[in-house]
Amino acid sequence: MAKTYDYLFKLLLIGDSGVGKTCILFRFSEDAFNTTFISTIGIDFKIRTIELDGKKIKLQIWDTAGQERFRTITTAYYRGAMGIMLVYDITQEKSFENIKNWIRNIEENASSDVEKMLLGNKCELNDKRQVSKERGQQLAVEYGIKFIETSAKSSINVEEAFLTLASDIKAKMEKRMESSNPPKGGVHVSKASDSTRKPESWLSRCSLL
Amino acid sequence: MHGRLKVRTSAEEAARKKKEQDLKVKAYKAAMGRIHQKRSTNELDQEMMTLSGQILARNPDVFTLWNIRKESLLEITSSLEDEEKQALFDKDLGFVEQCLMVNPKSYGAWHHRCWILENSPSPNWQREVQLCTRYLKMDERNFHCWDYRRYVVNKAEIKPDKEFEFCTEKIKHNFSNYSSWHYRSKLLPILQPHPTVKSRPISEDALKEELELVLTAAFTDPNDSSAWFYQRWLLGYSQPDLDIGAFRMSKDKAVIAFTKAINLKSVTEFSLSSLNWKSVSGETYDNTWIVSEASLPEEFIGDSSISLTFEGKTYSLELKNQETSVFGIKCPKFEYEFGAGVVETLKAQLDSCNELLEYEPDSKWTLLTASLLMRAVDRKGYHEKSHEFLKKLQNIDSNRKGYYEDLASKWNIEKKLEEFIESGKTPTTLDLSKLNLTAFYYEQYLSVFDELNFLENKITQRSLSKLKAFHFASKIYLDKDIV
Amino acid sequence: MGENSLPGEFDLLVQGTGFTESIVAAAASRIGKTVLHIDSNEYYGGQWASFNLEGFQKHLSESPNFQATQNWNTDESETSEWTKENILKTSRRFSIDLTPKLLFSRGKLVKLLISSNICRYAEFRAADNVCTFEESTSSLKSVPCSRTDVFNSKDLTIIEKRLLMKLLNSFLNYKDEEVPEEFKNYLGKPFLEFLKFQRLTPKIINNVMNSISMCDEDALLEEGIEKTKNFLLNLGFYGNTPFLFPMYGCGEIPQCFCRLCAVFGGVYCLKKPISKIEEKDDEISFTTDNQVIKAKKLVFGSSNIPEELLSSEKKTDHCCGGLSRGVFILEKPLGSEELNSGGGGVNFLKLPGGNGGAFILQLSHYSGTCPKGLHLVHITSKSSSTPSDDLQPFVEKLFTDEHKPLYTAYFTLPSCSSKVSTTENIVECCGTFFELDYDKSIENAEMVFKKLYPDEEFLPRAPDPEEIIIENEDPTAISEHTLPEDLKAQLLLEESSKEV
Repeated sequence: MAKTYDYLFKLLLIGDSGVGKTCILFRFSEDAFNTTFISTIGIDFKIRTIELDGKKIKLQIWDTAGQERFRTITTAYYRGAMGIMLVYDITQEKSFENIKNWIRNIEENASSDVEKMLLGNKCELNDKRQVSKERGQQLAVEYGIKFIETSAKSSINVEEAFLTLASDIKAKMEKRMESSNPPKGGVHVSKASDSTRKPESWLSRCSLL
Repeated sequence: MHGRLKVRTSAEEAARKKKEQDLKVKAYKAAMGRIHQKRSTNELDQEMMTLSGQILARNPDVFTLWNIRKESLLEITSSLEDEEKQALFDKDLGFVEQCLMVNPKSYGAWHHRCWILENSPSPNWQREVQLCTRYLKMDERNFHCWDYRRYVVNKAEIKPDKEFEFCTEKIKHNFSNYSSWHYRSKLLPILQPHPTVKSRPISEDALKEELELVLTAAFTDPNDSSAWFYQRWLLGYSQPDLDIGAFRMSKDKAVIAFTKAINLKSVTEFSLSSLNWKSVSGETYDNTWIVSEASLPEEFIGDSSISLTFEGKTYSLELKNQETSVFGIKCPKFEYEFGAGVVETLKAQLDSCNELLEYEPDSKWTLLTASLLMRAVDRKGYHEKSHEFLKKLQNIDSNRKGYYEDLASKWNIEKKLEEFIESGKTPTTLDLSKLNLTAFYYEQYLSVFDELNFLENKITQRSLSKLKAFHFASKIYLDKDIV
Repeated sequence: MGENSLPGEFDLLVQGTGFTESIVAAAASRIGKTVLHIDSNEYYGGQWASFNLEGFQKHLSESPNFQATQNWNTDESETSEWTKENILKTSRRFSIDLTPKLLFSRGKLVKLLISSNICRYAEFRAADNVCTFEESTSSLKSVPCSRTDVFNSKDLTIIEKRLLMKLLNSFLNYKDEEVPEEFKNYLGKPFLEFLKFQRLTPKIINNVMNSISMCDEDALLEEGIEKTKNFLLNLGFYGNTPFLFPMYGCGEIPQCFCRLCAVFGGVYCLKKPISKIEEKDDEISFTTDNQVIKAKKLVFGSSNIPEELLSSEKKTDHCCGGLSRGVFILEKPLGSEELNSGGGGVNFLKLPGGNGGAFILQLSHYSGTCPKGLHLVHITSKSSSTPSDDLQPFVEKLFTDEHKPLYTAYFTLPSCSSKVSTTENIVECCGTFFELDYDKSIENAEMVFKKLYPDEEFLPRAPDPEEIIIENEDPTAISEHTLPEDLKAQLLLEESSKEV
């Protein structure tokens, strides 16, 4: 009936094909790892509710649905996102180089105050490493964003990464609310908003939350 | 390359939901078990707060847990400095808000909120007012929240004009809202009291504005009753102020009638207090009190007035001395007496109603408003016309026929009573026959008459209990078929 | 398969990412067909696209068949805030629709978005006001449409309030089975005549005719009843009017369908022209980037018909496209400050006129389609001459001296060609229609889909992520990991008590 969380954050995963975005998503939401996830169709986001400083935060984490492959991510994907995980594969030099392109893409399409974080995934494959940790750090510093190396397979730092991003968004949001300038969201149409609605006639008017 | 998507069947989903439910029940039982165990050993600690919180956050209506929470919070904070104490109370306020998100109409949660604030070293009432504003935005008819708002507004010392503004906003947003109209009727007498007449709740200027607002609501949606109630209040169809209405005393009986129920045993400075007064109904409070003993003090017959004091206020009534009894009666206030400005507004509204009746001659609510307005503008002048409207209403709104008949009865009795009082006659007889009466009204005033004629009316069984109020009546004429 | 090459075979090739094509692509992908969705443009949406200001200007200047004209009229003095340069600096804040639309809050599109679960990709603004143009003051006025509006309106007397409410209620309760007396004599006669007989004031007649029912002058009572009723039944869901506007512009809508197509495995390529389309033995082959790809079926949008499919004679008879469009940037919005104080950032006006009149949308920054401090006005009418000539009567009426646009653009969305040869497996989607909502385009998409896959369900509800069974998973299993943290902690209590 009523919402059971204090905040809802929309987060995105962005990066080249094959860097492990979907695996990171499943590691965080299901605490599971399985390479067959990749071919699982129909899943475009996962949800996990976390608690930070006594506040319940619902994280809605969106995957690219393969549209990153030919750089055809829709502008609609970026709308309303509050946080973005930029992911590269430490064993794929090219995926690291492309981070700059993805950042340009974000600047063009996402809200200017979106919180970003850089993830170097597959850090369990140290012997195949092509991108050093230092280069990752340096790139993050360049863009003024946080950086962490993760492994979805070995469950390293995935949890930490999302909690960090979420708490940065929360801090930013609360700061904005204190300056009494709450973000203005739009209206979503859905079944859920239908069923909570009393059978209204045109006579009465309802304001949406 | 891709197979079709596999989705859980409804049976699989049900099995999964069942497993989930079982887990939840298991968790609930474990937590409740632990809580009871801790309570029995008086461990009112942080764990208790955590556990009770986890359960209440899902189900805020478990009352015992709110109590355990109160006990625990007091225990935990008992040895703390104010500042630390406040921090913990504030944290609990945050928790209650989470519960209110789950169920904004949870008695337990709202009540706990009051309790926290009452027990906080430095409660922030302003923040609570803002919380109410937020919750009333989600549901402007949440009366739990309206009640809470009145409580915190008082504590926060919010100026009534600010609250009035808020109330106006809510009505503009949706006028089908008893709570906002009701709040309005509480705020206006503070903001715009009538400068001279105490029994009138608000000033004439305010009244004019309110009448216009409420008629707009009524014209926009006549089926919404909340506006009607407010209009009634504005036009003065509320309880009259306390006064002595009538008095009569002879050698062997006496009656004193009031405008509304009173406990005669608690009046002071009443010269006849030594008599054996009884209420007609047998209740502690009644509007009619009688004595039926043989020997009454003869010397009183000479007095020219009677007075008594109740709750610090003195009331009196002029008396006339007749051969065998003393008697006095004061005409009841049937309506407010409005000033010229308001009467103009009422007349303009009456014109609007009449204009509309040209378009919709059978509009029931327009007919009713019009007849009420006529009574407010010129009761005597419009007596016939307003009755004509009520007659019409009995036909077109047959579901509420009884209501209109009762209202017509009331107006007819008012007319006869007023005529009698203005005539200055002795209360020997009152002819109320052939008036289509369906019920008795003003029966406390009828108590002074020797003879009452109700023949050829439509009085029903349900009214007969009121007959015993007619204390002086030696003859009551009623139609055969009802007795 | 190299990184940049495509799979060699698909069930369906969809060419063009306009609204209708995108629905078809999503619907096919949703039922398990392999879909390649391609557009020769570098942007999504075709005739339904939205652009930032620079992109928009560029698009107009590069589209010869748009009959486009553009004109700047900014104050270039030093004190001026909105010089051309300053406006262009905010280019990215604009999202200018080629085809602006409003959605009825319970209209076909909203229902489709909800039933297909595509609603999760879109965000909307509730329109703030349905307006009327008051001739006497030459300004925009809000038309009271909900009960609350009628109650609060200062433009209506209380008698008018009652009459309006009564009239609207009589439409709402109208049933074909039992036609009330007052309607009987007017069935089959003009709606306007009926209204005039109802002893209403001219103001109410104008509001009902032009703003609520949006009927043309010659519309019959039946149409008036249906449209008024529809308007009223869409009220009370979101905000104060029956309308929703997609945040960031209507160009988002086709993309939502594309996203669903992709989620179900559809492959996307933009900026990819195709050529050498051939149909042979129930199989279509085509070439893109020197790669030959095969598909069982082909769907294309009418704004971008492959040359091979153009025929020399008229083959089809459809009526899409043919719209005259005006786009205006204003500093001072039309209508009073109060009219523009709404948080939705969308005001709507229908102006009557020959040939169906015009739809006018005024957008503020809240709609996500223009920067704060500026307003975007869209005018759409049917085209009969040049776009500027078609829109002149409306423009003259609206933009008085104090509302002179800083930037003006006129263009045409051309009528689509009727000279197309289609086959059983090669189907065309129509372009935009002159309608406020998307009803006709959705009907068109559904028709195309049924032609391709007659026995399949059209866009059934997409399951929520948690309903989907991941390969090898026990479908009835519940993972304790997905339980909320506090319940997990409580379950641990149970275990610890057992240990004791």
